[in-house]
Amino acid sequence: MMRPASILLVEDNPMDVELIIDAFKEARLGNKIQVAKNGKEALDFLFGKGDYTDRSQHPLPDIVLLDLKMPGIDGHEVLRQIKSTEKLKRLPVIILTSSRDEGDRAMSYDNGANSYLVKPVSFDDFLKVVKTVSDYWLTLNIEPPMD
Amino acid sequence: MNDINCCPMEIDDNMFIFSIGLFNRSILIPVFFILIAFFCVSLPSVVHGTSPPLTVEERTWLDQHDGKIVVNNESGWPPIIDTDKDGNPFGIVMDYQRLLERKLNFKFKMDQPDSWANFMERFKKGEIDVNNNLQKTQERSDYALFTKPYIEIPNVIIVRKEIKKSLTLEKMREMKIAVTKDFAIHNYIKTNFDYLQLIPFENELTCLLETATKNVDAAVVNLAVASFVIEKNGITNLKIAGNIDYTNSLCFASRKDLPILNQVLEKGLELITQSERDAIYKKWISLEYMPFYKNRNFWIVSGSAAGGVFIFIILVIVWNRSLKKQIQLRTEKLEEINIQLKDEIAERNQVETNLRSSEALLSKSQSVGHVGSWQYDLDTNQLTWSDEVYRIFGLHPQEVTPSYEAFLGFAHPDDRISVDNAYQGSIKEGNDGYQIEHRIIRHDNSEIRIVHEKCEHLKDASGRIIRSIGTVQDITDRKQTEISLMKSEMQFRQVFEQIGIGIAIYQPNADGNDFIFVDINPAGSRMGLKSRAEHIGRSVLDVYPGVKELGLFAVFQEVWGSGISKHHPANQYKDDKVAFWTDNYISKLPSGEIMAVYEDVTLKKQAEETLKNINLVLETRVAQRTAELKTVNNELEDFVYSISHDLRAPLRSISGFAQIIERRHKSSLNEEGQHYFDNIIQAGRQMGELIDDLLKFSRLGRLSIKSENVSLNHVFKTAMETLSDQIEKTGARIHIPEEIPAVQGDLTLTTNIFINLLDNALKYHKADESPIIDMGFEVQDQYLLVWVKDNGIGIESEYHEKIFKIFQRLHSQAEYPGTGIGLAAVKKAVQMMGGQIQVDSEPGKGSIFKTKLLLAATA
Repeated sequence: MMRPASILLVEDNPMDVELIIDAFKEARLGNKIQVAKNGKEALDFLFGKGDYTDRSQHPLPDIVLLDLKMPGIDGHEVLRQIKSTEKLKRLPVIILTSSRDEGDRAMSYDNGANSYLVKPVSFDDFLKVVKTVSDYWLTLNIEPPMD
Repeated sequence: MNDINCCPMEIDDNMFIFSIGLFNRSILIPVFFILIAFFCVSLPSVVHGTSPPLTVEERTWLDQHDGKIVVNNESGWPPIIDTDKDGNPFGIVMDYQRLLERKLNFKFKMDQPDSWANFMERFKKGEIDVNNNLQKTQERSDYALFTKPYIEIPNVIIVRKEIKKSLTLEKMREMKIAVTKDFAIHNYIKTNFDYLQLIPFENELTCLLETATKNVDAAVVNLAVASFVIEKNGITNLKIAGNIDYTNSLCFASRKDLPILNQVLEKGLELITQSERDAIYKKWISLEYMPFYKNRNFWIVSGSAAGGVFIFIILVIVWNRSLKKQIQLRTEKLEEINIQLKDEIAERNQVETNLRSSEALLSKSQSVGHVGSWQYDLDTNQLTWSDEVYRIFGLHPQEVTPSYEAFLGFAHPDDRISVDNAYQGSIKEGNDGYQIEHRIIRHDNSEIRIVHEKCEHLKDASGRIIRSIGTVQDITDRKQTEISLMKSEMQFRQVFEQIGIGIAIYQPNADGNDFIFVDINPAGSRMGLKSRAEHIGRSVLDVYPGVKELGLFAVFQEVWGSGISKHHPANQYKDDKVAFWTDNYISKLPSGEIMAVYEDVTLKKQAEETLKNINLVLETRVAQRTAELKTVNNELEDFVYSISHDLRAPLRSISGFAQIIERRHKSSLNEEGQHYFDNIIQAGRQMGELIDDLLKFSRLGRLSIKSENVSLNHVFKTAMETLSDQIEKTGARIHIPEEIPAVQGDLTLTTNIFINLLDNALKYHKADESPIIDMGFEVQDQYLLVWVKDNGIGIESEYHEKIFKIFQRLHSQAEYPGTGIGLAAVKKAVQMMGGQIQVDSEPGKGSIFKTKLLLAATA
């Protein structure tokens, strides 16, 4: 059996982080979830900088779950840098945000987001979202070649 | 005067006595003398009577020149001067010459007979000493000395007898006039009346014959010659129609270098007596004329003179004429009168016939014109009324005997005294007549009518009034018309004077390039700051020089030309002195005058201007305020949006973790803890819905909406699908029309509107009844009214407005869960697409939500 896909969750709200991780747990999905608490940390992780220079310790994730509204470097900037970097541009990025704003949606897709999901309020709905993401993106979807 | 008046001798229409010689001469002898007398009176310039005797020197000179003074001997102008078949001269001139010779005891030497022209030549050269029949002229006075005229013979206008009117040269424009060629008379007429048609002939005889035979209309000839020629040739159809201002005044002319000759000739002529002159005149001139009209006092003066002479002559005749001659004369006279009487009787019969028919005609015309006539003979005290007088008084013709008292009886009691005074007064004053208007009361119906009476008095020779003749005219209708006209005129005049609008009337000139003020009302004068007198009679261009620039003058001309009234809208009039805004209506009156009706709109204009400025300021302010409000609104919406958004994160945490506890740790809570926990979860869910709805609502304001054709059938289908769960759950029956016209708007918004409305209809149903929902539509102008009717719980009327406001809820969450945002969002969406929404509802009877949306533009 294949190794479960690893996930980079970029989320500044610790409660949301906890909820998402809990939901994955609840859904009994064995994915490895790494968390970046803001945009800078996410970029450091992806570009192997700062605390994340050791790639064997911090391998690239199979998928990125990206929040948009973050202090400092926000989700849009992170997405733009991923998609404009030759080595990273094929990395699937799923926007997971509370914003339904048209502007946010348009900018995200324009910048190459692979999917756009709105965080539901109820935990049950959260569970559904997590399960669906896992089923579709981490199981069904054939990942692009990375090199 | 009476004798002349009654004389059977012809006095024709033209008041000319005509004839001697053409009528029985013996009858006319007395008349002849009268005429002679008159002639003498009327020719004061002709010398007559005694004169001082010759001086010794003159006598001696005459004796020395006896038979040596050569005088002309011309012929061819009978009866003035001519030569008989034996070569002996005769005529008026010769009679005077012979008389002169006798008085002076002296003989002239007659020259050989020759023409007048040749004698004139020779007289000028001094080859003859005396010309016996020359008229004095300026030119001739250079070479000759003249005596006073010894005879003056008028020139007269001769026409055929059938021409009845009297003539003067001025009246003869259309006539062909015969004159003697190159005679003085010819030149006189040619010079003074160049417009007359003159036809010159060789001599008087030809002139008169041409007239008699109608080749010409008249002849102007010397009276003596005419008389002689007419009698000699027996011409019977001619008469004198008038006199002209040209006489032949004959003098003896003598050589200028012999003044003594002139003196003796003068003295000799003065020795000729009046009777000798009369004898000569009588001998040669039988034709006469008498212009009676020339002198007003003629009848009195000549009548009494003639009367005296006549009586004297009658005596002479009685004594001097034989009895036989008298008898013969009488007989002839009687015969004449007899014939005349017969004529008169025939004439009178004719006159009576005419009179009868003209009486009938008069009566008819009196009734047509409502004019009656009356006559009152003061001597016999007899009054007569025409039939129409009776009718005017409301009587049948000749119903009563006319009397002055009866007449006064018909007069209105209030007018009776003035009517009586008018008549009696005019009689007393001896006036020629009077006229009066008064009221009468008709006999038949007691109607009050107005009559106009006019009366003239006839007087006898002494000036006493003997008869009154008058007319009575019923002028009630005319009077009433006059009164109503006057009333109407007064009303219009009052309007004209009092109205605050200017009215001016102009007389256009012939070319319509100038207009003169005929009238202007006070309002008009005030506007121009000029008096009425400064307008009247002056050109509008003088009084208002700015009228051309105003464009009004062109309108005047246009209306003058077309006759069609025109409005010249408010414009500013300006000249050196005044400036005002005026609004003009120009029209053409039936008289051809131009009328301008105009208003001073200066204040109105100023107010308009002020209002316009205020409006402009207001508009600017409104625009500013709107922009400000829009900004504030946008800020507010942004604020609502972001706050709702930010509220979601903590909510998510609250409800997320609460749910996790519920799943994993509920059993570790006691019953009370579990209950509170359920409350937290429920509150979290409600808050989630509230935030979702708020976000939706505020997102509406941020949306860019489309304007496209939206099929409502499609919209309803989508809505039904969206709500299929609720429909199933409630067991609702929904009726949707088959074909609904498309509307114009945004598909998403429209769909949301009807999802919301349907959702409400499904939600607020009665507890024991399944919802029955009826949807329908109606086209109203460019709108489509769509209604959603339910059989639900209904809404109190006081909430019909409120339910469209955000957060307005009528029910508890327990009864009907909801956020209070749905209908507010619906209303906002409808308004954003230019529509309207309202509700008709009663509690317990269901609701109808009526949505008005723009109809799709049909292709």
